[in-house]
Amino acid sequence: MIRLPITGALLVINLALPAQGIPAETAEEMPAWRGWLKEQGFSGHVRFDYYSASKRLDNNHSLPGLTFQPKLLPKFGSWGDAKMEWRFTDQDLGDRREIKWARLLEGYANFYFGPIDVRIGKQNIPWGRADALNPTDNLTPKDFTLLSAKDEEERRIGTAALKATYYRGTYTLSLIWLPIFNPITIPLGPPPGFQLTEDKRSQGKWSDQGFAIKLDQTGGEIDWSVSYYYGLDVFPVGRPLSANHTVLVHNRLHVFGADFARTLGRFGVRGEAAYIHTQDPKGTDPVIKNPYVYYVLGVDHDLTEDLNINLQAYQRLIVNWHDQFEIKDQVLRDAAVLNVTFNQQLDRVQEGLTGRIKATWWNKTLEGELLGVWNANRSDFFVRPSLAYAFTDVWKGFIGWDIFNGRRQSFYGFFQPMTAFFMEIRATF
Amino acid sequence: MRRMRALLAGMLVAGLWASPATAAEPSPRDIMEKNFYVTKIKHLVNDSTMTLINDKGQQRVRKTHSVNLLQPNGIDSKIMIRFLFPGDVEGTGYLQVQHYDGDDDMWIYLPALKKVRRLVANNKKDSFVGSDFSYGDVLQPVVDTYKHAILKSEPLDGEACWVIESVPASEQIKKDYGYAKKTSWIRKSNFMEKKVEYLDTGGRPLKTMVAPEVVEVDPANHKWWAMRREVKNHQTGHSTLLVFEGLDTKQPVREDFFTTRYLEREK
Repeated sequence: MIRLPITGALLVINLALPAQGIPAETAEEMPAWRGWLKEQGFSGHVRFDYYSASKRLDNNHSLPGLTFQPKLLPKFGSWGDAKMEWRFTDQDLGDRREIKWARLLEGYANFYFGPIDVRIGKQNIPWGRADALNPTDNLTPKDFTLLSAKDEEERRIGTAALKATYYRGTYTLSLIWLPIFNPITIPLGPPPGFQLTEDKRSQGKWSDQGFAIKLDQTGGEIDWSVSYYYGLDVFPVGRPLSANHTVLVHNRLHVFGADFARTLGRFGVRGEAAYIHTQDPKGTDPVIKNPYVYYVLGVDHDLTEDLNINLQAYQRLIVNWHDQFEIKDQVLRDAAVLNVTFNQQLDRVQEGLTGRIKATWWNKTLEGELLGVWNANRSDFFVRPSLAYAFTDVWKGFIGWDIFNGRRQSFYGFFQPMTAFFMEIRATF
Repeated sequence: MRRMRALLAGMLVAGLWASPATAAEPSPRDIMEKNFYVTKIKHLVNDSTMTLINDKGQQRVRKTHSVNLLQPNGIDSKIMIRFLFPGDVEGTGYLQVQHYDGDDDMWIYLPALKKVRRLVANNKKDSFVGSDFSYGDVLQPVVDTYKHAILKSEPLDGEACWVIESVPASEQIKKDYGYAKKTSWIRKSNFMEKKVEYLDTGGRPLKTMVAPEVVEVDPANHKWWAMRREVKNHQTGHSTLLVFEGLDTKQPVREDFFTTRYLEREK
């Protein structure tokens, strides 16, 4: 990630955007350089947004932001292609409390050898057929501090990986090597006088690497997969070094997972489950996650042509769970409670519901959505009502409200300061 | 005597099947069957531009690249569609495996999520990607879904046509497809429709589709394609123009193209 000015990027956008609502020019009408860019699959978006609060738990409010996100999809021929996608962003144009940054989100090449595809480079590897909650999705990280109306789609960050995929009919076997660990970006702001550091395990040691395998079947009546991941946990736990210094560490995991999707009449049914084996199988170390079973089961259905509903239930079963509030040492207890809150291991059995209602109007140019997650144990929840309107084929506007609520010692209660109203105007090219 | 009876019975049946217009003409079912099969092309690659125009004249454009492969039953197809424009859906892939006697299997690939997602089959009356075409219009139903009758023969814009009235074969089909009646002007020269008028389930005029320009894309097998279709919804004032270009029926299409491997390729 590098810091940079953003003005130059805007100049490029201005040149690249077609006029409002008018389709792209034909190849014959384009200047040569634009034809070349189109040939290389140049596209992307620019967005201006406003958030009433940041997602860093740093008590920053009223943040106007500007982001430019271009990508290239050059094709080498029938034997390969590539993708490069960057994000240049300033999430706080006004007071400059957040750093400007540029990041390569993905940069990889694909090579096609008969029934085998090889992808090498920085890439996203999202796993799991459930919606938003994916117990098997542990390979590549997300940026949970991103301010974007489409954050669920855009918060992913690639990781350097080598992925080989063998195809046979409707079956796919993937082997993945992750030589360089890349953790999530978390919304944690240390209080004044407190030091929070992170061991990102980026030294390239054998013990920092990850491996994964997945067998997938997509086709016929039911889609399914079984998978295994051995590597570091992209989510950290806090290990206190002193009363005012905690280091975030990433421990090793074995994740055994499976998922499925099928249709039953006019209902889509999806499920996903994983057993996550950690380095603390007995649950005695308060700064290492306990092993747990995590599963999600859901349905989606079109109530009418323009109204879709999606409901999911989930449960986490924590193995050898201990009550972290009973730890005598205050420093260790504070860290342990923060760990189980953040990693959703506060209770022995945790369960809840997710829901999304999506409606469209005016030939799908106006979309309304209400999505939410409710944790049953502590009645904490997240709700996002939002509206999106496509002014033209290029310009789209979003408005919404992220609401986090619950008591302090609950997952969404912890993130309550991130409650924010937002609006965004986005142009794609 | 028995032979004579059989001959008379045969003549009677032939008379019942024959159109009211002239006895020499094919039956309305034969016409609609030929209309159904005349666009069943073994393999087809094309680009299309769909322009959606609302009652105020504002336009939205959808550009796609499609690959179709007809299945051995000669009815169902496997279809891969890649969205090229607008930018916010560019790279989105859509794979459909049709089953004329049941729900289709459908998957979508969303580049932003980098995931293939199985979709629930659409209701036939639902709008196809926000246009005035329904899924039931785009994926034409088998001929016996409707009962057909020839109303008359008449020229339309200089082309001789049969005018065929089609009503749903059951109340359930009427509900599924959303039409109480379709009236089609079928070209006598090639069995391609030139105009179709639709009534909604309440019998009110719903929309009119015209296909002014057709080409024979596979002369060896007498297969035709409408290069341009326009449909106007009379109840909303919204209309859709669908234009095809770059049609290729010679390029062979492999069966394994219709898998997630190719669905996930964004370009």
